Amino acid sequence: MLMIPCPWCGERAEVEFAYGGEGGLSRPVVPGDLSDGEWADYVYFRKNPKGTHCELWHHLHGCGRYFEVVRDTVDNKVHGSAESGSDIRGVSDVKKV
Amino acid sequence: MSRHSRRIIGRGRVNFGRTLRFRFDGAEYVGHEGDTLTSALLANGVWLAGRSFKYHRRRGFYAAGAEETNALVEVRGMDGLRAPNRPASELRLYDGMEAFSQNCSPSLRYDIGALRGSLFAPFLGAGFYYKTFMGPTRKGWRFYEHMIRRAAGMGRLSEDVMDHAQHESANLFTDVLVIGSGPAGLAAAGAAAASGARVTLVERDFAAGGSLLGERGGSQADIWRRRILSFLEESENVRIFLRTECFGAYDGNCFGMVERLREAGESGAGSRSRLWRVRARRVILASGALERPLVCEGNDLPGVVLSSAARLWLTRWGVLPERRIVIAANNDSAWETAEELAFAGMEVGAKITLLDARREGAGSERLQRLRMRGVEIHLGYVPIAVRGGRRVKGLLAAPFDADANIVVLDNDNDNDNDGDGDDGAGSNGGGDSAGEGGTDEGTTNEGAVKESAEAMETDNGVGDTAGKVAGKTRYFAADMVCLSGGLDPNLRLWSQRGLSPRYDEKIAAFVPGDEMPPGWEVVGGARGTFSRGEAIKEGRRAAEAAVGSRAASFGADDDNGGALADIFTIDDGDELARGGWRVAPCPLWLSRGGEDAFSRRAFVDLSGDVTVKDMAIAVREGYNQPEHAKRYTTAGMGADQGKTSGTNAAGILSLFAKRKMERLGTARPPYTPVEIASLAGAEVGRHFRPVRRSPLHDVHLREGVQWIESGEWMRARYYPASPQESVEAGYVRESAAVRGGVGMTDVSTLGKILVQGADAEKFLERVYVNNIASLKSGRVRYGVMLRDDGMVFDDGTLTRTKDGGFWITTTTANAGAVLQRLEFLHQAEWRDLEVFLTSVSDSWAGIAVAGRESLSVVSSVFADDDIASLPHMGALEVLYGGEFARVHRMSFSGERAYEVFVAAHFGVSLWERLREAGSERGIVPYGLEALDALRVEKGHITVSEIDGRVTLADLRFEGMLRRKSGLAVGVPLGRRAGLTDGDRPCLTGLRPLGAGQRIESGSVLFGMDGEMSGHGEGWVSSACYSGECGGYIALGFLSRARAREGEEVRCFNPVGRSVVVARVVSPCFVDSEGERMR
Ligand SMILES: [Zn+2]
Repeated sequence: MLMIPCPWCGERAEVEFAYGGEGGLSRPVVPGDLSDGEWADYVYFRKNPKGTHCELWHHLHGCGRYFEVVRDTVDNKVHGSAESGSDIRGVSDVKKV
Repeated sequence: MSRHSRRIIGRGRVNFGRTLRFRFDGAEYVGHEGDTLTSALLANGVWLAGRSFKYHRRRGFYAAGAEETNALVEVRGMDGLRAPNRPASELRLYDGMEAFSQNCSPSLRYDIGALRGSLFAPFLGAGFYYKTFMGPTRKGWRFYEHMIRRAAGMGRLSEDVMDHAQHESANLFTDVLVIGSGPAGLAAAGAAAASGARVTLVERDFAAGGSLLGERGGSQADIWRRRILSFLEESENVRIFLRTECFGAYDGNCFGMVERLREAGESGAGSRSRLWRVRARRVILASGALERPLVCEGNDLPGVVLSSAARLWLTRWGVLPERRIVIAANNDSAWETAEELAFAGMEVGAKITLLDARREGAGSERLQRLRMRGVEIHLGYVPIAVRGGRRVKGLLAAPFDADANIVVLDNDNDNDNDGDGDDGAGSNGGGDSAGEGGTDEGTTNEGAVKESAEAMETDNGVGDTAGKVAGKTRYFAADMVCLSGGLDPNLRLWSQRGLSPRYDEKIAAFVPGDEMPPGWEVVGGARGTFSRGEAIKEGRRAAEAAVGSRAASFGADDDNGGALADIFTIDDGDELARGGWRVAPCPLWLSRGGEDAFSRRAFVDLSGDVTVKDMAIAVREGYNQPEHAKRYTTAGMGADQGKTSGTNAAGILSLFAKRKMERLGTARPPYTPVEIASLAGAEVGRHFRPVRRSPLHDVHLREGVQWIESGEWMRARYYPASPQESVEAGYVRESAAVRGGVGMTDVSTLGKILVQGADAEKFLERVYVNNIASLKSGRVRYGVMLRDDGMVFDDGTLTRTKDGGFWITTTTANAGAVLQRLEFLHQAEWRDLEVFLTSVSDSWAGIAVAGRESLSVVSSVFADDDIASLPHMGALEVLYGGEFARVHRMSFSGERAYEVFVAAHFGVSLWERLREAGSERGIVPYGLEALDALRVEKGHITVSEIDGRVTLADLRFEGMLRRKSGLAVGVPLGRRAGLTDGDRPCLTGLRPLGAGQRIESGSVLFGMDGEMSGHGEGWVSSACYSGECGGYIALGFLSRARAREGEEVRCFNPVGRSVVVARVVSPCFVDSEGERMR
């Protein structure tokens, strides 16, 4: 079971959280400009990498915030977390809270 | 032999003052407090414990710990409850225990399965299932199914007895978790405890000490054990768990443990087990090592045991089951066993013979000591075959010459007891010719020993560890044969963290690599340190590293430290430090070289009946990768899980496949079987998931409600007018009351969310496909949310409140999902919007009052003149009991209706006042069934229609999509050609042609022509009886429904396989102009 560092509450057990999918995605600003293919990329396609992964977690049974976590999918090591929208993709040494 | 002579006076840690009576397979026996079922039965001269899984061979007691996979028994609990597959070695004896052997029919002694086993044995070899049931011969399943179904599975569960025992769960946080209470674990716990850290010591056994329990009472090792234990017990920061299995190691140093408080049949108060979720800062794994057997012909006969077990039976329980004992080994551990057995055996005239594959044995000092004790020692000998029928009769051994070429004994001349005839009285082992009297040097196979160059290539480098047999065989008569093929570090928990051990040639076993999970240390036997003095040092060092340097110097002035410093003062020359291995073992995977020289009775994995021959077949047929060989043979996949078989199987595979040593398979939790009941804990029956109750729950009870479970909610289904009234009669009556006058129903379960903040409107504009900007204060609007892929997600209402915020409702079912989705959109997608979302679902009680008399009922409760003038889809904020309340005029039934929301604690009072106000007009409470029938009549949708597969156009809402901005969720993808295709099934009404005919929900729709197969042209989503229509009606989805109104379709119900012909009609059956509700 992971220990997840919530930027607001500190390290808490995984059972308090809900997974929120891949992080660091940005919603199209001018939706009409996107082709169906580009929309499909945004809606359906995710990276699912082996290794460092930026993802969202929702502190469902805590403060209720969504935030970004960088986790290694191989060893489940959590490298750090930050408020949602910080774009910490690719960061492997985010300061631990 | 008389009953009690198998106990050695003065030995063991059993309380002979307390006698326990128990039954095994119906026969009565007596044991003592401190016994296990194994020790008590052995003391009673019982060797036969069960039948094997596949071939139903007789099996005896084999081990003294978790590695016992032979003697799995069923414990009969209260009310006849069966608790199967309990290792007899782990069952602490209690008064009145009732245990049964497994895999036997009709009885353990006479087993039909054994006959089956012998008849079919040749067919059940490696890959049997794959070969027989796949490819061209797969029809074989029909032929074998009956037999295999009976043989499959181990043990039996209670089918008709409910387990009423309680199981509980708890959380534990600790600084240092020490797993295992052997020398290394005790030392680690002691050193860590001295620092003041919170220390948790976990031991699966019901006594602490691990291998120290194999030491004679009063010995230096035993005294050390007791001293450090009493130190730990007195330390307030130490928690000791006995009889507790740490079965799983998970991320973040989280561990699962089961504390066994009682056996199934053991009386006592409180829970039977306790599941612990442990979170540890530092972890010290001191799980010790498990002994593995040597693999030779007949190594599964009752009376063949692990050498470590024989030693523990004696030292811990005072049981010496037999007097003529042969020990065959390749390592030092067996010498300690021999010494203990000889020491006790002298008094009772026991004859101990020790065979060691190593020419030098365990060194000259030990050799002399053992010879002085009367142990007969043969160095350089390996076991070839265990002889016997029902029981062990002797051991055939041969010289082992590490330098010679491989020599294979002729296959047949040593009189194999072919055919598994171990039930037949006449069957015997070939070794009987050597006589029963002693260790006559029966040269039974003189001349049968011949060189066989082709049997095994000798220059491949890996052949060294195959048993190389040279010279004359010798026969040793014996009643018990102890095998020791080396020690395997118990790395299950460590491996569960995804790490692979490496093979260490020095100790011929798999040891942990350098990589450790964060915060872990592995110490003692688990690390491959088989010297006791070293293990204690390792445990102490690991603990000091874990807690920092504080423990390093146990201050003499410190209360605890002084005592501990004394405990840790151990000289290298002390008996305590001397225990363990001194001379390297000699790896030995087989005691006969060459794959074809084996009959199918040399067992690698006893629990799964996997033989050396199976391994040979797997390799011959190309399954020479460890993962393939494991699955093809099932080695290590049964109850044993590789505990005794893993390394031997790896060794044999390395020989046959000419590969380097590789572990077979990976380790996953649980380490030993965990009962589902323990994992479920208290969450069974009604406690399986929470039940949500409306704030009006009690008032429904007073109304004589019939409940229905809807998701987590208990909802009112209907209120029977009499005890005999059926559901259908009830909802038809209730609906008629609404259509004819007035009714009231509980709508408190709807999801309710407050959306506030400067950008609330902007936010909702992007969330709903409806226009929000035009929604005026004091007005209610129906709203639909889409998913990003364009499918309909949920529907509900929006109300703009006086303060500029919004009060939105969701369906009952999606209340949680909608809030989470909105939070996601707000926090992750549109962070720039200033919005606050608050769930107020539980803060409000809601009651809908529907029917043309509804206004008079509502307005008599709320003394607010504005109610009378409230238009359809209007909202009022009023006061009730001095607190805010909401009156929304809106209709789900199609009649004039009001939804009234008050603070949850006023719900009951509101219900009662509305009920009273409506009594003159004949108000009737209506339940979920009537609510559903009323909305079906009106063509309104619920989650039955919004099933995740329908679009706005499918629901005939396509107009919304056209007007909406592309910024809103789901709108761009909702416009995809595939989702707006006119051929898609869309919402329709259906009426059966025949009077009284009913359409079943879930039916598949077909046109009037053609075969009814496949997915058809649509489906029925909701159906009910309509009083207004005077018959059954239904809502469904049908391809091109609008154009087909008036046509007939067939409704095929795949469950009842019935067909009803129905006419396609408008989905609104009642008041299609909407005049009544306005
Ligand atoms: Zn939080």
